[in-house]
Amino acid sequence: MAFWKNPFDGPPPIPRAPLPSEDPFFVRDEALRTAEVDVDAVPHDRLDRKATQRDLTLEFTGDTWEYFRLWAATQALIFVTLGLYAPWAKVRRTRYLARHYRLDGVGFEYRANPVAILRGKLLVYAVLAIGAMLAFLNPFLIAPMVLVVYLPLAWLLTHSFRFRWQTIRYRNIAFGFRPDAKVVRWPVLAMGVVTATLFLLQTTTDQKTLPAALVLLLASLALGLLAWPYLTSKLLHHRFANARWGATELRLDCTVREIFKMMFKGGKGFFIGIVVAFSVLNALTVLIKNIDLRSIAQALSYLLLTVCAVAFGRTRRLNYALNRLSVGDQITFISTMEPDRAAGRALRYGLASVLTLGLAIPWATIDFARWRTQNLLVRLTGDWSDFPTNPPTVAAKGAIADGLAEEFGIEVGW
Amino acid sequence: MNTRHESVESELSVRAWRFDGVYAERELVDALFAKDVVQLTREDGSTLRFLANQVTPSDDTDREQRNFALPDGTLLVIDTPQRAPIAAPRDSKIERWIKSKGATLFSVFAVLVLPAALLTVVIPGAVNLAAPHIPLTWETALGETVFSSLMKTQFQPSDLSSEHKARLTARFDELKASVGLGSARLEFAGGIPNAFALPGGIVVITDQMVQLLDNDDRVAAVLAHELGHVANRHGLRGIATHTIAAQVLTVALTHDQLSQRVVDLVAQRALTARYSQQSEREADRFACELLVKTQRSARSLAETFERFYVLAERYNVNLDSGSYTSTHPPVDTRIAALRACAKELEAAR
Repeated sequence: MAFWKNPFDGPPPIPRAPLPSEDPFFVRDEALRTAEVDVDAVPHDRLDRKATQRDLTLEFTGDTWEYFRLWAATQALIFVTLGLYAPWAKVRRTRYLARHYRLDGVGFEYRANPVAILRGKLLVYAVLAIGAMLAFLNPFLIAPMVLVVYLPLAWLLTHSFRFRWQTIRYRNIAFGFRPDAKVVRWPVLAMGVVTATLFLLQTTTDQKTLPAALVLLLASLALGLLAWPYLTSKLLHHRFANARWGATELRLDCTVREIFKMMFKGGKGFFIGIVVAFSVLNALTVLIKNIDLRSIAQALSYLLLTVCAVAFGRTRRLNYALNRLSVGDQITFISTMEPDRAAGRALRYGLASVLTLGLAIPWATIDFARWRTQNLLVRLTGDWSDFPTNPPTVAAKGAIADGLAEEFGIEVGW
Repeated sequence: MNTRHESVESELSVRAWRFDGVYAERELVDALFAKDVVQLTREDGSTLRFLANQVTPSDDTDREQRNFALPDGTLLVIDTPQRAPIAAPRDSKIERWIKSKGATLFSVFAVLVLPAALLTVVIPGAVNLAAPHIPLTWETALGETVFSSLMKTQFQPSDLSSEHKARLTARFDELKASVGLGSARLEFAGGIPNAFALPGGIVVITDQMVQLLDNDDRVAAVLAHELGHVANRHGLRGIATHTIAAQVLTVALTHDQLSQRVVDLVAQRALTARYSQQSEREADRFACELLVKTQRSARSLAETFERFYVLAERYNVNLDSGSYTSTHPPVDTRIAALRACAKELEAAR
């Protein structure tokens, strides 16, 4: 037979209504109903559905075991090919995840060309290898090199966004993006200067003197509390405000300053709690004599500070942006991901991934995707036919920029 | 021409959604999958026909919905709630392998074992093979830069008397001459008790370490150990191995998630410890052989370690040794290995 052989072949199961706990819509609606609506995050006019609006079904239909098999096989191929298979692995995995996000019954599509990504990655590795070689021969070159890297970073980041938007399609209509490097140029350069200063101080000064320690402390605080949050807020704003779906522009009704503020606001003292817990744990690690126990305690404090705090701040900011985002006048969103729960999840995923030597990563990916869809309401005003005629789709550009931005770990993920 | 499509032997007719890529709404069509042709019948009765081998189906990992990219740029979506048989792609070899029964088991094994083998055997092995071919001038330039950076940031000029320095330098020169490491040189610095070797043969010992050892024979034993690092080019090998391993981890863990970054950090910490502990064992063995060769007691290094152990206990100081994340192996096993080595070599002499 030349027909598709489904591994689940056999008589179809007797259809039955899902139990409430099995029904993603029930779970999501319950979450939306019981969530304490954050007045900072959700504008009141979005909470009431108007007569011309309908809620679209949003679900994630991915299966943990199925994704685990795909992840494990592609991961093994990455190792066997010494990393060359990584772009194909990325495309396969992202394609799987995208197609299982179903909005109004239709999945998203991811259409990146792995060869283009490979070209980008090879260029990145060549640049990194040259940089590593120069730093290997002269550590004093690290600071100027950091500055050189930051010079084109604004262009790279914005063009990486273009690549990411252009590779996603919904209802066979591609997303698009209008990159504008000028918007993020100054924050990127400011961060480059602060980072280069940190490297310069580390390689040239006696760190044990008080003035040097103060300068280091100030530079670290400027980086952690000002430059990094401001740059990532600016990037988040840029990523949504300049995007479009087909011919329909995405609109973001908030300022960068508002998004930036959300990183530090509210949350029932959760953020402060994390910082205090981190400080106490970090102080206690010094008293632990056993080096293995000390390392574990240090890793835990790292998890608390970075994973939890970043997940908390990022979720809060993303909620705020999504709740002010619209696709034309037709589609609006209500995002109710609770930042403290996002932080808890990030901690759980991090610990599970470490304890299983990475094998829990697919579970974490699927679990988070399900949670995300359960906490996002998408509302359509009118009908799909109200959207304008769309221009023909163009091939995605910017794979090299995408590869570089990914390597530098600037907040390019959702 | 697309060759991924496997033709069907009998016809299949299903209802499908067609997205034309111009309008957002979908169009309901009747799709007929025949042997060589895919035919769509629209609601107004008009038909669209495509050669089957020009229709690209999606991955069949999707159990409930199949997508087909048509040559005119439109998309056909078929819901298969009853898991109806839909004409499937002829998979590439890799896709077939991914779906095979044994692939998952092998993959899990490979995901756990391959990186470990790569990071602990393949990369260090390749670096060891390449290290002798790296020009000594590069290594020396690296060592000099690191040394000058350390002197500016971590250490102060030495306060040892010039006589004491000359005495220790003479011991050092004697040791290095006996193993043909003519380019190695000894430097003194002020700072926490420490002795270490940099790439290019620069051996640094701090005044505080010299005072702690309180005996020139013990200092010579420590210098012999550091010469072991120089002879084996541990500085260069360590940096190269760690740099490549970090890159491999970066490639393997794509860092899409924070959890992957955590795995990366933990793996790097464990790897650094492993490489470092191995280097320390090699340097211990080298020192033992060198001390015997220069008519000294090979037990002096073991006694030095015992002294460290006692002092650390007395002053409640942590020695960075004896755990999975330490840079040095457990002190007691090092002492035992050195005693065994001394016994073996002294018996042979």
